Amino acid sequence: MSNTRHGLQVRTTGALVLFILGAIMAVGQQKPLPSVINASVPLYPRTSQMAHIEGAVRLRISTDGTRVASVEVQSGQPMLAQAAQDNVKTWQFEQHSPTTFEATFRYRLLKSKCDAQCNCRTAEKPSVLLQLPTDVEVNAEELMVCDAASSKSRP
Amino acid sequence: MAMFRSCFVGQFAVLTLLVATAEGQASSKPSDAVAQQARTVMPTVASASVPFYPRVIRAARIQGDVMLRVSTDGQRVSAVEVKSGPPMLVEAAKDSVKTWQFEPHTPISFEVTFHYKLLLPTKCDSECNCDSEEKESMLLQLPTNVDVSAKVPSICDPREKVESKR
Repeated sequence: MSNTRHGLQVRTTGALVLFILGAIMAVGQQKPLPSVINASVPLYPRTSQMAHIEGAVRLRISTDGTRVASVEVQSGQPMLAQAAQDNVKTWQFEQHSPTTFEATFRYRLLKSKCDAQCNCRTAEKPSVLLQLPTDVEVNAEELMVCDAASSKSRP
Repeated sequence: MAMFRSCFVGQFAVLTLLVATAEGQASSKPSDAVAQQARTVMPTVASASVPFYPRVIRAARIQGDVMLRVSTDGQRVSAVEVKSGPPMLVEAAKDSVKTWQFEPHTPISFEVTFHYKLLLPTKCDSECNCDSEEKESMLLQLPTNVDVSAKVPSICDPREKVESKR
């Protein structure tokens, strides 16, 4: 009885050691991310902007050593995912050994306020933040439907 | 340096004068200044290339601000006038601006600032993968403001496993 328990203990410890070793090796072997040397600025797709669609897109990108070989959509709204994919395909990298990594595109709409003359402004400035090749943030102004005539008619 | 300072003081005086004038006008109609600014509609950038910090310039450890005056023909950049900035970075900023295309608009002229900032490496491993405290990034507020921060290419020899010096 004590023998089997001892055996079980040894096996568990052995498995644990193997697991830890494996984890250490995996971290050690983690390839450095390739450097992007050429790309187009990702812009908010106009139709999504008008349709008030926002959200994050997660992509899995595989490279052939200089360019993007394939892009797999992990999650995200289809229109935004398409825009993100189109942008990723413009990326070119410094020569590296082919690799696969994940990138997240966050599309956000900024609330704007309009005055009586329909001059609309956002508190935050629209912007694009790039931390290539893994993080992209696209913040655009939310398009407002503003009727100057009706605002003027108001007291 | 003295010239710099006097220049600065001069600018400050002009600025104060401008603010004073603006305040004078503002007192009569408070919303005027704001409305005026809001009416100057900036063209919308429809396409542009990412403004990378050229490696050579990073290796030469050149950083700073570039100010340009950009004129458009209603869709593309028709002229770029350099207001200030380190010559090598001016070229990089000009090259970047020339890739901009806009949604159709009435030809306009406006100012753009490019801020180039270097991130110094803090630690390098034996394979010369160097880290810096801040992540490399680019913040674009088109068409008026561009922030680019990138690492200094490390002076690191993997064969000798030398640590890069700050």
